[in-house]
Amino acid sequence: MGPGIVRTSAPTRAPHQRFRPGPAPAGATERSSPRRWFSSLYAGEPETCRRAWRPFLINCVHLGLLLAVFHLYQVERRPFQGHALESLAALAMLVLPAHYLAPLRWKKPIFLAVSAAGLLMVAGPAASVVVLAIAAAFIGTCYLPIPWVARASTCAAMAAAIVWARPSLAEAGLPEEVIPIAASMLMFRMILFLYELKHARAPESPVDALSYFFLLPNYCFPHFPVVDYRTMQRGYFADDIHLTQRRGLAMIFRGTVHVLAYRVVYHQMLIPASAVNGIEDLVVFIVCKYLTYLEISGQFHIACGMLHLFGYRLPETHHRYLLASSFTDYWRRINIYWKDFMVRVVFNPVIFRLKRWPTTAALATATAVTFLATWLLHGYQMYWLRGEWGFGATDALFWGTLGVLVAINVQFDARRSMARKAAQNQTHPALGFAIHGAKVAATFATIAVLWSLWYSTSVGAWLDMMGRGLGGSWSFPRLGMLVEMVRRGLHGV
Amino acid sequence: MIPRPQSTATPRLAILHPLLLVGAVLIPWPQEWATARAVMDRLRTPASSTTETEASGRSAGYYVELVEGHGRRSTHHGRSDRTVGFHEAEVIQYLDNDFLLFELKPEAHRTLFGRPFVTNAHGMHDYPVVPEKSEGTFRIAVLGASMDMGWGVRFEETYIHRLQERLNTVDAGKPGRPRRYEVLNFAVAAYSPLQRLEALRRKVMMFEPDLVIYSATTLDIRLMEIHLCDLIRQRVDLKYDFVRKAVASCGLTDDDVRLDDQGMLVNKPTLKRKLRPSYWWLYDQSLSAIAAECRSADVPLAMIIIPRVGPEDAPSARAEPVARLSAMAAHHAIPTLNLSGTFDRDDPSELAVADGDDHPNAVGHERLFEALTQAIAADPRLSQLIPCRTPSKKPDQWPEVSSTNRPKSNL
Repeated sequence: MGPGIVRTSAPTRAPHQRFRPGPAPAGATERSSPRRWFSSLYAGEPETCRRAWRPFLINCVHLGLLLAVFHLYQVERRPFQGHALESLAALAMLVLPAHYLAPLRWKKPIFLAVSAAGLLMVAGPAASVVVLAIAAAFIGTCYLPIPWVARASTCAAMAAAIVWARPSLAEAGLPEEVIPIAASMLMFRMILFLYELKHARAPESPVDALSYFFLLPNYCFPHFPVVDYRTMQRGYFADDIHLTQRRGLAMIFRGTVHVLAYRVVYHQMLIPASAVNGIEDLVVFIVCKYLTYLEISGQFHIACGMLHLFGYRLPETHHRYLLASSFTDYWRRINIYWKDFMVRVVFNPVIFRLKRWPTTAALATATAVTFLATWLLHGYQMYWLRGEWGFGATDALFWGTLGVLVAINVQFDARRSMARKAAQNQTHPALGFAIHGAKVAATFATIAVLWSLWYSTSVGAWLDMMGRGLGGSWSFPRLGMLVEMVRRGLHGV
Repeated sequence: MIPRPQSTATPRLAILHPLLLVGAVLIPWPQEWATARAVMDRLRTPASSTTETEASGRSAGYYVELVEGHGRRSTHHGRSDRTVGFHEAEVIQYLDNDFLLFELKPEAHRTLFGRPFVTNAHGMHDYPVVPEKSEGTFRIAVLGASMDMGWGVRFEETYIHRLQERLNTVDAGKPGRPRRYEVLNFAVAAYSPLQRLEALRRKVMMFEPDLVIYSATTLDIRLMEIHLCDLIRQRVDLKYDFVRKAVASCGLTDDDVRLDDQGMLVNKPTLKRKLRPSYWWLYDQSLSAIAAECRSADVPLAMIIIPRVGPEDAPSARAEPVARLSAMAAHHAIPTLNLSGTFDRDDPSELAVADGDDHPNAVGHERLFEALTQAIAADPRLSQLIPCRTPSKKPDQWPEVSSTNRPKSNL
């Protein structure tokens, strides 16, 4: 800071440090009154850990109501998967008071114990033992006193061995759910953990590592957000526990609403591809097919919300992705954890290696590599969770097209000058709103069409459906009925 | 400084959100608010798994496959099996140029869903039986499709067999009652109402039934469509005048029924679209023919409406077809037992034979049996014919009926 310049406010925290806990206040080290059988703040605990009955009880009532919603609406209840979410949420509610009252140093072990109990509840004893053994082998390898490259190679070799032996293991009677559950814990988080081990200045504590892999909601959501290790550790009691829990409860509710909205789309609005015989059918099909993603965003919100109950303050998993105004904006809003994972593990290393290249070429190459990795890792994910590689022409076209669109958008964003931004800020609010609306609509339409391609059984089937839609009737009977209903309603009013 | 919660107003307001959702379920919505009730039904109905999705013609997609999975196995119920298609199960034999198109193989012994699937010499998923009825036997013939046949369960576990056991336990041999009851399972998976009519005429009547129970489901219209398309594809004689009339009235062209090199219909979507308006009329005519057939043989006829397991038969989804079925039965003076709400209170995963398969398992058949016996007991005409009381009833409470094999009934 130059002479004569005086800072009038505290500097804002860098984004990657925003969840770092603040300094403990002076009074935090004092023991509370000996009359109470628990302490509101134990010695050495941060202020964020301070206990207070009233807000905690309100949060418990809130969680109880959400449990009632899960039960009444059968949220995430599927044939032959039963009530896994309800069971785990009930378990979380039962254990929450003990976790809340326990000293900070016990909280992670309690969370670990709850997670292990959750695994036992969902997978049963036989499968749980195998899952624990697999996880112990992988996590133990990360702590071997050998070079990082050797540890990473050993993990990769073990994964390859499981791929090779998977059919034989199934024939030998290995419970079928073992590999999907173990994989959902390890397949991406192990990559991030190894990345952390490579770059961390100090060794990671085993309790931190175990609590990173054994996440309670993981067992009812095998397709789980790729939680970042460092973000998770930094977010631990980074904010007042009651606020964190409240934020988590709001996330759970939002996720529930997404799941319920998905049901309305699925049952009420979604039509089969074979029923597309006109432009209105096509629009309905494409939009509804895209909206089926609400189930995933709902699940991710619920999963991360449950982690908040135990003090992990995490970023949003999705942020109004239907309102994205450009392709880069879409990429940043939908599945934010995946974007962060890709940026951290693929995009940034590539950009760093290409730092001598012209910016345009480096950005284009890094974006291309990122989307290639995204495509490959989606197939990898499908293999671990479902046992079959999910590569196909429609996947390649979807990720390829999206990658090209994002790459173009990245270039455009990089070249956009501050002057142009300033000029945009001077436009009339109504005009700015209209432009923004048009951008949102165009992004939505493009992504929805791409999504319909991705979800088609083949490119031929997609072209056939598009042909039937565009070549069929151009009337809008549903829209007419809707207008008529609204008109009658207004007339009635 | 870390912000601390100063007021409890915000969390209290946030509590209102789930409270509203809970309230929306608990409050009784007025009957007239059909749309609101339908939306609530949808909200409370989990989406189908991939197999059902594909069966209904909806493509799945990456995330649906990832989350729902194909033929997913149990994670903690200890039950599992993959959905098995009827035609791939190798329990049927195809009939060339025959209106029935296919029937169950006689003496078939297969294992489906981990359970034996056995048929008798007459191609029935049932005990060995002879057409000749022994003295003092009261025979009930059940016409239906896969739900009734017992897809994925032993024939001893079907609601049909349980009914026979109950009747023989509580009623057979009592004064004025038959010595023995036989409930014969003539149901065949995927049989449309037209095929059930044909089976009645060709097979059932030679077993001299004393009562015919026609089982209907909300899937019957779809089965009708499949049957008609297959008849047209295989160029099989439509046999019944009302079927010929219906197909003729659809205005099919040569192009609509054109086959490709593999013998498949080239323009099947168009064909289906043209046939669709006639399905309910055809169903009505089929039911009329079945009623006429039974009347001419002096055999009482009753209809039951059986639900499928899962969201496809949720109350709002089934309301219209069930109402239509009931109306048609009333039109032909057929007493109807509506069992369509039998599974409403149960978790589908507890009742389905496999993931993605909406057939009831043994527990589902037990539920159907309980619902059926209660419905029979509540129906004055049927209960006179086949008293389905619980064994705890004392014999002196049973009504006196005539000494003939077939109790008098005003059916």
